Amino acid sequence: MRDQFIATLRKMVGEESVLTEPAELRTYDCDAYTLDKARPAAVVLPDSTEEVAQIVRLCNQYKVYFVARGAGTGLSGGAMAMADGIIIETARMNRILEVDWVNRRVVAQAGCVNLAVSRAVAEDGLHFAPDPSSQGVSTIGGNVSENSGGPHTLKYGVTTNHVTGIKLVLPSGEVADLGGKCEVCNGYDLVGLITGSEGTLGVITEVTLKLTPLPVSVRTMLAIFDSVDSATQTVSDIIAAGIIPAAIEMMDATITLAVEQAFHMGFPLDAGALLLIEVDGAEAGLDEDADAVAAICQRNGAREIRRAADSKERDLLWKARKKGVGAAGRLAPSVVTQDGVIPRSKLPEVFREITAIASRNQVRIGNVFHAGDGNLHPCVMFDERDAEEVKRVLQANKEILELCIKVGGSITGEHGVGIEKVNFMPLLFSPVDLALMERIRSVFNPDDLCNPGKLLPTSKSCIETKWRPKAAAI
Amino acid sequence: MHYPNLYQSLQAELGAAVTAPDHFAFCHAQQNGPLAVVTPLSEEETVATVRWAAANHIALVPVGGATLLNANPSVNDKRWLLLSSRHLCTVTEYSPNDMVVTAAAGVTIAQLNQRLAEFGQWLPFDPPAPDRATLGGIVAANTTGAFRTAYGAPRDRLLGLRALTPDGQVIKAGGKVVKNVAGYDLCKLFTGSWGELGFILEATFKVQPRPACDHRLRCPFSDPNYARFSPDDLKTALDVLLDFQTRQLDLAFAILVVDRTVRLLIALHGNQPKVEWDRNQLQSMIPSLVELDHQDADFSLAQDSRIPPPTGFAIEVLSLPSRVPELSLRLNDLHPALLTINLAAGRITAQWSHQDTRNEVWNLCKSLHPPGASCTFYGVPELSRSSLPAAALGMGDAVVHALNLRIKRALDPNNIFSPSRWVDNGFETAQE
Ligand SMILES: Cc1cc2nc3c(=O)[nH]c(=O)nc-3n(C[C@H](O)[C@H](O)[C@H](O)COP(=O)(O)OP(=O)(O)OC[C@H]3O[C@@H](n4cnc5c(N)ncnc54)[C@H](O)[C@@H]3O)c2cc1C
Repeated sequence: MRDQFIATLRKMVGEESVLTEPAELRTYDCDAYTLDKARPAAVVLPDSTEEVAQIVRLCNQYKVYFVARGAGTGLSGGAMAMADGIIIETARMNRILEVDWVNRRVVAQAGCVNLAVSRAVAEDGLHFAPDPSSQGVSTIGGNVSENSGGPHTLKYGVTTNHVTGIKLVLPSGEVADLGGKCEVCNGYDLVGLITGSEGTLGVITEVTLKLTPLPVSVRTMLAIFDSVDSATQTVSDIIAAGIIPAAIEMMDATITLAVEQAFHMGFPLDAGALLLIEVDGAEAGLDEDADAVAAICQRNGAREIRRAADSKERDLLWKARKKGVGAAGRLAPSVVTQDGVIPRSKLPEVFREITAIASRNQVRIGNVFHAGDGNLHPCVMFDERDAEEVKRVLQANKEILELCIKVGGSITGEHGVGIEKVNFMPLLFSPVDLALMERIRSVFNPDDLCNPGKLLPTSKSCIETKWRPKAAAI
Repeated sequence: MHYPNLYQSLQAELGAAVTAPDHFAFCHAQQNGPLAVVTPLSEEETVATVRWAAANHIALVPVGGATLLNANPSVNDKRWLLLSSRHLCTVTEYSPNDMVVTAAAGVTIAQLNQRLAEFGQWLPFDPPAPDRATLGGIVAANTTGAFRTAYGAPRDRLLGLRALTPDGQVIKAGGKVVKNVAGYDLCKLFTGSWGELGFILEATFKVQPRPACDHRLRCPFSDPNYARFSPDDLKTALDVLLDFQTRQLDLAFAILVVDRTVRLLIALHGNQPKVEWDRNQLQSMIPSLVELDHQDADFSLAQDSRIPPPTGFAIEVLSLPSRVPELSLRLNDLHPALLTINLAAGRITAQWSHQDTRNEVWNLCKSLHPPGASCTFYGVPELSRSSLPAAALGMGDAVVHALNLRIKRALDPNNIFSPSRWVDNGFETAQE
């Protein structure tokens, strides 16, 4: 039956669009979350909504699990397949279908890369505001499914604030055109519901996005602090002062070291923490905002404040930040990045506790994160082959997420629940809340063929027992 | 109609205050009006009411300040109660340093903003009648006003909520932090669901620092000495708005108010140098701009434009900026008493002081689709959304409509909450 299924698939989309060789499939064992792995039976690369719909209908006919995948940069295992299931990869669906300049909308296929959208409209003075650090490779479909954020979401909002329409192949194979170019849809806000649903409610094939005018002017500065405490206090004070910078990002000493090794930026290795702060908008009044921010940094004992003199210097600072998580990979063979969120006023206290968690569990943690949003990214570094260390890493992860919940936060700000955090959902939501989510899932995905085992712990699937060898240790 | 016995026995049963729906003039005009208004004093009383209603197959229509009760009325043949949030009005948690506030559904936007002002902050929603419009209602209708383009809609600022489901259970959606992707975004589902999925108890919002400078300007586009403006005045004014849109000006809002004359209202927000710069730039484009007091009657006229005159009705059309000029001119041809046009938000409101033009307005709305425009009628008691063609509602095609209905059924299987108010047409998969 499996052979028949694959043969039909090949007939549908062409030989070269179906991968089944073990060597080809190895890349698809996991996404950028590497603690859980499973090999799909096949990877199929459709070219159009119609092809996706046909594939999904075939999966229904043969009762084959399927999961959509963009660039596979997800950090919670969302794009991992069920063993024997298939992956529907959107790489070939990467076209920009329409730019509507007056109404500031763009319609793009799901496989279009985030940055490609912004590049396509830059000449018109516009951009797609959500800017995950992975924006050079991650896809619009992935961004929408994870409701991705980025450094500039502090001012501009996350993906959900910039999506007005979604073409969705439902798990039944029907095609639903949700929303459109209008900001307000009628009926329930299904565009809002699908955004952030981590590929569990269907396969997105096209998205209508809002475009935002590029800021006329920008001021970027790097503030260097002796201690993490004074940097986190600065973040709290900036927010409390009523200034909304475009971004406030923080790197601690461990990440600074990794970045320095990778890019030789001349960052001081004895600094406790660096804050990358950007204000943007009209030229008039911008210096006043930048000065107000700098004054708060100074009040909190910033050792030095470097202001980017031109766009080249600015790009360099951002490169250091955006490649921060990747650079952490230089310090250890494996890295898991946590994604808890806390009220911003709690940053100093939570950071002290994270340091304690790291030393208690004897793990090395570097921090590079969206400080202005209170969205932490503790990068836990380890060697995946060392089972003992993996246990300690999982324990530290657990303690960090519990800490986030304890101070009134959440277990994920932008990376999603995926497979990684399903078991933490009951710490955040009651059985009644979870049952409601399950009901919503069943409306779309009654047979649970579409990305089972993700996002909700109650979802019916064998994934927890069979395919969760490591993360299940929590 | 009055049912003294019913009120007494209900009150005894629920503990909550039960009164005649006398204050709700709009409901009186409905053929099948509500039996009573239940106004719980606590969440416990609210839970008891919902459970009782579900057990007795009585429908519930949540109501806050009743400012939008006349929009998308619940027209159904069930016996129903109004369930009021008016006494659920505490600000439960406010952390100015996090710029996050949590408040019960019955808190009005004016009350909340008074509280936030103590810390130089605000929740930038400007629905009609802010001293009556409650947070629950604002979320349920996803409604705001002129500031929508600059500060976003309720859907963009709602971080979390607690709500009562039709089986009387309290559910939580989202949380209290500014970024959160744990689980499905049920906040989105409740926002703009017009009370069809449950009773919102409490909501958490991301608030905003008040702008250091809030500058208001007005520019006349017609001669006030004439009896009525000429269509060319309106065309010129619309061209200016379109020009603002293409130049990507950073305005807090720009709205045309059109009654006997045509004038443009503008708000500029930011720090002093920015606002001054914006003003100079505008002044070079439109020399006749004049400063305006914040209390100027034109602002409340624009803000309350969806509240119809006593014997009349109003509509709100939501579309795309590029379609606004054409739609505005077509609506203007039907001689509304008041027209307001916010091109950047794709939003037009119009009101008439009598019901005579209703059929013409109705026909115009029917022809709006495609591509993507929707309209809401205010103050037409017998008008249920189910009697409007799906296309005019922007409801999407059969697949999308069916999805909406399936969600309603999954969450409210006995159709307790606000029957026939929004997506559900009495549970019939009615298609055009
Ligand atoms: C170095 C690095 C930096 C990162 N920085 C950020 C950051 O700053 N902010 C942030 O939010 N994230 C960040 N991420 C995480 C990741 O890049 C985002 O989640 C991104 O949106 C995933 O896009 P993708 O195309 O790689 O999706 P994938 O990883 O392929 O998929 C992610 C999820 O979306 C689903 N999906 C993908 N495409 C579709 C579709 N067409 N239809 C339905 N479901 C679909 C998948 O099933 C899966 O559940 C980072 C990751 C890395 C590796």
